[in-house]
Amino acid sequence: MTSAQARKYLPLVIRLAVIAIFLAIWDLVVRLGWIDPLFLATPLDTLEHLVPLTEHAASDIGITLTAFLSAFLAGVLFALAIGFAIGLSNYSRKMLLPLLALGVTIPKVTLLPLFILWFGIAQTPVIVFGALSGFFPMVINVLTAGGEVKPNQVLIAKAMGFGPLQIFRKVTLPAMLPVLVSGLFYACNASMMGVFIVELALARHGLGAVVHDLAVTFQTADMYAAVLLTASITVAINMALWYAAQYFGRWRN
Amino acid sequence: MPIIEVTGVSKTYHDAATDRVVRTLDKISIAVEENDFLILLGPSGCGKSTLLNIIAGLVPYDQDGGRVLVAGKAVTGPNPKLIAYMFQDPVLYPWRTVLKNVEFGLEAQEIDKTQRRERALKYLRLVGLEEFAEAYPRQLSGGMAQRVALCRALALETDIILMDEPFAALDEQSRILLGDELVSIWRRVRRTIVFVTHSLTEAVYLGQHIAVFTARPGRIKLDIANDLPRPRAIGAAEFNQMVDRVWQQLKGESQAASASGKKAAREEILLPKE
Amino acid sequence: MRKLSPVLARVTLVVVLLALWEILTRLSSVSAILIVAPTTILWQMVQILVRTSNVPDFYTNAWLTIVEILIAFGFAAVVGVLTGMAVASSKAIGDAFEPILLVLYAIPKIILYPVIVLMIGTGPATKIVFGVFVGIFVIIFNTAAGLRQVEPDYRRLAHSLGYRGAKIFFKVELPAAAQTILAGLRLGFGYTIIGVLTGELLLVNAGLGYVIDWASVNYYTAQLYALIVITLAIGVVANYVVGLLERRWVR
Repeated sequence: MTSAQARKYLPLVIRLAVIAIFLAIWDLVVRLGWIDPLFLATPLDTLEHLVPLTEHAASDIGITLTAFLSAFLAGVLFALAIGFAIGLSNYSRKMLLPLLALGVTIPKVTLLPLFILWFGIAQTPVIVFGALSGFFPMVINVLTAGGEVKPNQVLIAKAMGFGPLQIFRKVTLPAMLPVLVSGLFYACNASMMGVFIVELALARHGLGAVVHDLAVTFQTADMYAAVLLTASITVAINMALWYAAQYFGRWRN
Repeated sequence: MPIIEVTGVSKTYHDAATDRVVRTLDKISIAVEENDFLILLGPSGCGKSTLLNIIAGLVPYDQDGGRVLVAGKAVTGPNPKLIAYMFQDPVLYPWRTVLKNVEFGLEAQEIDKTQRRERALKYLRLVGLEEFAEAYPRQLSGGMAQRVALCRALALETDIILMDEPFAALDEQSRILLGDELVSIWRRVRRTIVFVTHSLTEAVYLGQHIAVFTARPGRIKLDIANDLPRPRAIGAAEFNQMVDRVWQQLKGESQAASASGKKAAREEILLPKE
Repeated sequence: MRKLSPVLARVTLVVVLLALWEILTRLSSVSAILIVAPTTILWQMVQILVRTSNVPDFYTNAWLTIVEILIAFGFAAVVGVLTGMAVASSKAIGDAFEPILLVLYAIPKIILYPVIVLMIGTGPATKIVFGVFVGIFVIIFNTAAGLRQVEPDYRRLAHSLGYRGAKIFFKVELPAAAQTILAGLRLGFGYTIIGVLTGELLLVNAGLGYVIDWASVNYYTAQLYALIVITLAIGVVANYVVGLLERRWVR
């Protein structure tokens, strides 16, 4: 292998090495008893428990996914509706954008007790909080997406005789799409986090509750398996969204 | 009858930033004959682009007696059946293929899908870009993108094509080559072209008539007929004579424009290279 | 009608909304356990701040939370910037670690919170660690991106002037990347606050999380609203101050 070829594989090798070292340390730390096995399970243990746990928690997985999808859709749809409505007027956009940006940066988790007070402890606060978490980043993106449309692009369309509705469909919307899609990613992860946080806090249904219960009963290996499961589901959802975005954004590659 | 008739048209606007009233055009008059290749040449800020926008119906002109007629009818808004417009920036839509970009203007008119596609391909063939039909604008060079924009304008099959410094962003070779292509297309398809430029060379190389503008507020100082036989040779004696003639008219105006302290920016008159 | 400046319009909007809230609350028959009028909230806030409220040990708890946030951010900033520098320093290291970092960034970190609790316990350390965890990634990314985007011409110029190694770094690369790095620190601070507060609200045994939970379970709704507003205000003010600092330091 030439040195150029070797260099190409260097990052991959480093990556695998780092992961391997990480797993090895993780394993050793438990085996040597540096961390009590009650608090940390070995990688192998975690993997072994993964499949049985998934079967066992199947209904909770369904609950969490349903809640996530509802929250995500609700948040995004509201953001699109309100975002476009506000974006119609430059004035309203300038006025409301900083307020909405505030909604992204404040720790919304502080409102959690209030949500539970208002909506009870069933699925409602889970979905509402998840939707709210996704709404704010998405609405910001909708409002900033408007800036992606260049005036010349609209001018050419006008010179060609297109009416305002056609210009919106053929020029404004496609120009806004990349920013809207990146907003979808933010909203997706924010909604996922929101849903999980409430499930964790309420500890009644869903993956959050599963993890919580396993943690307080010190079923350590199962708990780590549950965390791994949740992480994998999140990564899978992200990848699905990424592929969808790639497909629609073909012209950018 | 001239295909474009501008009579006594003025354009004033209120600059909100400086709270001054700016008069870009001052009772300007010009007549463009059918199938002419007219150059609008002048110092920066003289209003040549504004005049083009007014003819295109994209910008209103002062209602003080001035009149703009295209094919005998007053201009009230964009008229895509008669006028096609090209900017300096090709403004191709990045989310559409080259073919779909050329088809774009046709979608506003009652032309069915197959006809649109055929027309678009025909003009792509004309400029030699047929094999790029399915490519995306991102993959094109500056010159190629501008050629696609030209196709888009040609595909509308309008009688008039207005061009606002379409080659200004290209390198010199591309400008000359594209200029040649434009002239050859013009002679084949017989359209009226009104072309705005800063470049003296370009003006003399391309134009059949050269309308020299005064400094702001703009008026037509002189309309020079350019009878040099085509193909024209940059650097040949007659060519340089014509350039000199035009420069004499232009010189005073350019100096007036920069003396009055207006930002000349990068839009100086480009003198031909020796 | 002359339009209000956007700032004035915003203030007016907020005032109008608060007024509506006040009126609707007073007129409606919705229980005081669910909705409390803004004036009542304000009154409670004053009482809490002058210690005449029944909220237990407000200042002790608030101070604990603030200290947790500061420690968490301090750690996240230092480790984050250093890691970012390491990632940017060598292409091989950068390429190797970036996908790993991206995957870690994509996972909602709240998932790992129970793991942290399990391993570290329920004290302030957990919240600090979680705060660091949440805030550090954006700092790493911004630092690495900022350093990588330094124009190669700057480095070449410095080289030609005789500078070497560390000097180039401190005199050229760091200032050039400063804007991006500072932006990353500002964002990281916001995320750290969110992280620490999340930790506190889930493990309601100390700090602002404790007093908020106390108000919640005892149905002292007015106090609950007041404490939430205070906490949010701390967050907003802190973010604002950091934003101002960032703007001042960007020369």
